[in-house]
Amino acid sequence: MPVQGEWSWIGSSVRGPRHRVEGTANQDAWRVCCRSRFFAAVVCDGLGSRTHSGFGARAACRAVVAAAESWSRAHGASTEALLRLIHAQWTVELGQRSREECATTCLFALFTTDGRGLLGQLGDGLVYLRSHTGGSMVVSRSAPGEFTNETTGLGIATNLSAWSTTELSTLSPGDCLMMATDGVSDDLIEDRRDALLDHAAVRYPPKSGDSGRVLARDLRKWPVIRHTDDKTILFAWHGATGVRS
Amino acid sequence: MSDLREFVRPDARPLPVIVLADVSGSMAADGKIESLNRSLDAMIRSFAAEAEGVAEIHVAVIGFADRAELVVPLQPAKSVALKALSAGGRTAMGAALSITADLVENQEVLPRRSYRPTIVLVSDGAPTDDVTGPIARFQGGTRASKADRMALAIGADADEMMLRKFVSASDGQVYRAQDAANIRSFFKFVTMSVSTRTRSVDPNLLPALPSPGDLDLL
Repeated sequence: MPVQGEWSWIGSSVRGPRHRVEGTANQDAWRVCCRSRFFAAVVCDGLGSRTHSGFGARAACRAVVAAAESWSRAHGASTEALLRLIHAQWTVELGQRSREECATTCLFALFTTDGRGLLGQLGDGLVYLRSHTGGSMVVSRSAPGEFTNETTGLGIATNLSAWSTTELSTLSPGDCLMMATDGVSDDLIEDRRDALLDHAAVRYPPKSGDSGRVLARDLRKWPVIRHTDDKTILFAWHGATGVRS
Repeated sequence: MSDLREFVRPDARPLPVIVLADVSGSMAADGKIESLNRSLDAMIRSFAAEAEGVAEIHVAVIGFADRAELVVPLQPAKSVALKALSAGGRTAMGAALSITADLVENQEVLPRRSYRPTIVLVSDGAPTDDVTGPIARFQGGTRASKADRMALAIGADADEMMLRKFVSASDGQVYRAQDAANIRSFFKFVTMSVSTRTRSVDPNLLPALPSPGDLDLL
């Protein structure tokens, strides 16, 4: 049930047309974890040219949650420490697989119950946070000159400077989050993001058992000509779903 | 139809092709400008008919003589109505390169969802304005440096050294055409190369290019 404590969420990931035609698996992954000390949401996009990128994306989701578990216990731990934990935990998750062949983007949002908040992005995609007051923020991109399908990620980046991060103070009821892989985010109209968040709260209500299927169906019918990518999107609401009139 | 259609851009992701065409006075000789016009027209019509592939090919044409001018703003190939270029004047290649770099760096014109652009420079002479600064933008510019580049040197008077500087830092090549007939061969090659990209799994990957000698242009 995607409602726990102060958080509710809904997400879905579907194979893109290219992988459907090829008969290959979805290389995106997402995960939400709500525990007593933290809430974490992760979206990852395995790089299409790498053999085990789907595995790498799923491993990255697990790695962020494992890193969050440790980091949330350590009051005052730095952002850099969390990022190093994610890299290390991801490497552990890969076992004997090569990091290069498991390369994946990694986008996360982490909020601890002791009042720390952090948005992180390595590679392309979207992390978008809207405040209950109506203000919004996007994790700033470190590489504004990229074209589509050019990205970095775990297994590619050799320096923590490749990450974009934004530290936050405590959230308020009505704040909400949207995260997506580039198969979705590159096609979104920027000034319709808030409208999409409002739409999601109504069309995919987290308390409905059918919302995940409805969201997946809408993603499969992605209304962009000649689209190919896997598609993953995640919405999360702190407190009420925050639909604005 | 998806319920998400009001939140996304429905058009296919663009694959931009930008042509810089020398229309200086020397291009009026030996049927070169006529061949260039026919070749450009055939290429654009071929792009417009490209129904397969993951990207939609967009085209811009910049002509340069006494000054450089954006003759065809970047737009889907199927929307282009190309008027014949006429030759006359000097060779303001530096100005053309500046316009191109501005265009590539502009994320309003080339949004992030674009595939990496291909820039094609065609000239039969030496630049008559400063090209040092503009060329540097293709070697160090955030996006311009990533563009795929090809160049065609027409005849013996073309400044091949300068064209090599333009394609350097990309996997591009400088091809040579001895006469007007070979201009068409070059543009057929450009057409094939771009069409191959649109049909590939990742249009950002440049297909293997033949060496200049293999193109039968010499």
